Amino acid sequence: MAGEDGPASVRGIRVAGAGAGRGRPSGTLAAVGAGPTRRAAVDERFRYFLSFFGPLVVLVPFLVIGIAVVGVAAPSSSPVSPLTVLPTVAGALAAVALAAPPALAASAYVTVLGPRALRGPMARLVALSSSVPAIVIGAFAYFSFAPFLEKFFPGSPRATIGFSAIFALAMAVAPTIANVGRRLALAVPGVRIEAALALGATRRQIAQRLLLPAVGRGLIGALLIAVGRAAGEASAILLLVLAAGPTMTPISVDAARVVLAGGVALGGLAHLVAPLLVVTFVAQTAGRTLVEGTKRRLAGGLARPALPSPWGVRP
Amino acid sequence: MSGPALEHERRSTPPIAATRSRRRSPRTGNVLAFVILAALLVPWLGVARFLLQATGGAPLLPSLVASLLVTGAGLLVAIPVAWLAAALVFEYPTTLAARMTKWVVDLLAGIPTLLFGAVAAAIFLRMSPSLKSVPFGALILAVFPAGFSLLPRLFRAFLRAFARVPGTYREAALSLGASRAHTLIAVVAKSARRDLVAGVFVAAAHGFGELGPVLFLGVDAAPLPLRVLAAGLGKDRGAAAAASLVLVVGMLTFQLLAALAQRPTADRGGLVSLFLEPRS
Repeated sequence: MAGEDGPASVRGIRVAGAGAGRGRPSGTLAAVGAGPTRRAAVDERFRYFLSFFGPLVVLVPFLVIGIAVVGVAAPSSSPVSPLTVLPTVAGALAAVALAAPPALAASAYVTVLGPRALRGPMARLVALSSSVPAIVIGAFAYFSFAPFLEKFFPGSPRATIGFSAIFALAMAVAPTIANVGRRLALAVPGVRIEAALALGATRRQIAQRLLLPAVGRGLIGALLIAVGRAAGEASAILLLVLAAGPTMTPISVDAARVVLAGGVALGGLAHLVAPLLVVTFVAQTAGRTLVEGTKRRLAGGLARPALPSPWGVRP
Repeated sequence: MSGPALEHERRSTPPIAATRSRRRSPRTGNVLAFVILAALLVPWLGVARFLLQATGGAPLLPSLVASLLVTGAGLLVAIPVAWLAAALVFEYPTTLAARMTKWVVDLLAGIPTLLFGAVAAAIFLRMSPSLKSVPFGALILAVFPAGFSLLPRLFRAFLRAFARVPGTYREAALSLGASRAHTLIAVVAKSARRDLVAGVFVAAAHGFGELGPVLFLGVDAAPLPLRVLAAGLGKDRGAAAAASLVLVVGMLTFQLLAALAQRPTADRGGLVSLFLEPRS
């Protein structure tokens, strides 16, 4: 739609019309366009302007990653060990495993399964819960959930803290999974749902046999995005882990501890977070690729990913 | 009649209609899904209960002001950058610059926000170590990390707002002879105005309570997330709940403003949209 052929055809029409030059009476049209040649020049300059200033945003992550790379290359007392990634990845995977079933069920509920009147408010609630600050979740886990859990694991504070931290991480990433899942479900063309309804499918059958296979790999993408987020999430588990003392801690909390201590030496910090950056980058990129690819496939390869996908009749 | 039935028997998965009589109850799936959904929502009741335990603690108004200042200034930094990036990706989606921008914004969304704060601290504090002791000096430091962490969300909100403007508006403007710049600024962005503002508010709601960008200021600094952290480290449940409550109320206020700002359509708009399906 916003391709290169739009203005060209417009230009053609304008050129064909007589009196497109400067001699026109002033009016809306005259104010809007000042002739095809000048308009082409304006468009050209506009394009150069956007192409130069639009990618300014590119500088930011490259600055961060560049510094990280420099930090890793710099000599340091503690060599990077791939093993430091283990608690991070394990924690993130556990949190996503805990959060995924209710989150995916929620995205099915707010798209097809639930009663019509409940879908909107439920979707709104799930979307709202994604913007609750992670530090609030962390404080809740530290003050309320961990003491509650202690009753079940008397005498083993490490288990209490571990499970509480996984629970807090799961609370922080569940809305992400639910939102991505909902978008995926909404990307399934309405025609297919109408066809299933015409075949006599119930709403559960639509969710189970139509939506689930249709979004298939996209769901794995949603989970991968969540793993990336959980790995980088420090605020939700900071209080719990700081109170537990130095044990096997996720990298994000280690980094937070270094930053809090104030002695931010970029080299040391970069050394610490480089494996974390790799984990989040790989998980997020793979996840996004899967999700976007699924959406494009569902839209028939035509729609741009940013466009909200059209639903026909909802069941 | 026997032909189709035989064919059904031969298939490994029977067609949907054939299984209708075998299902347990039409409501089982619904009930199950609702129970699982409740499992997702119930922990938030626990959070609400925790928030209501707010008592005592130091006055929170200065912290609220500091948090609002950091978020507002971060937005000032991020909005122009995000707008330009979104305009580029919307208007020239196939160009190399646009593809690169989109890829990088996605990458940016994956970087833990803590790192922005750390990098800002390492760069600026190295340059001028006394900056932290100047009034507002610390907050000035926090502006860039806050802005960077807001960027991806703003970018996506702007792009979605542009995409929601009917394509016919663009075509009409272009066929009237407007340049692409004029079309984007005076037609598309103007029509998307309310959605753009809503996107800013949603980004503010997310950025308002972020600990990452301000963590490097230390536990004694003013912003609200740090107050929660400080109260937590001091094992002061009431103060932590109080600061958390202010954070959550602020977040809800921003979300409310976003819902009010959203462009109304034929059947929904304004406050009513709070109770309907979110569009973004």
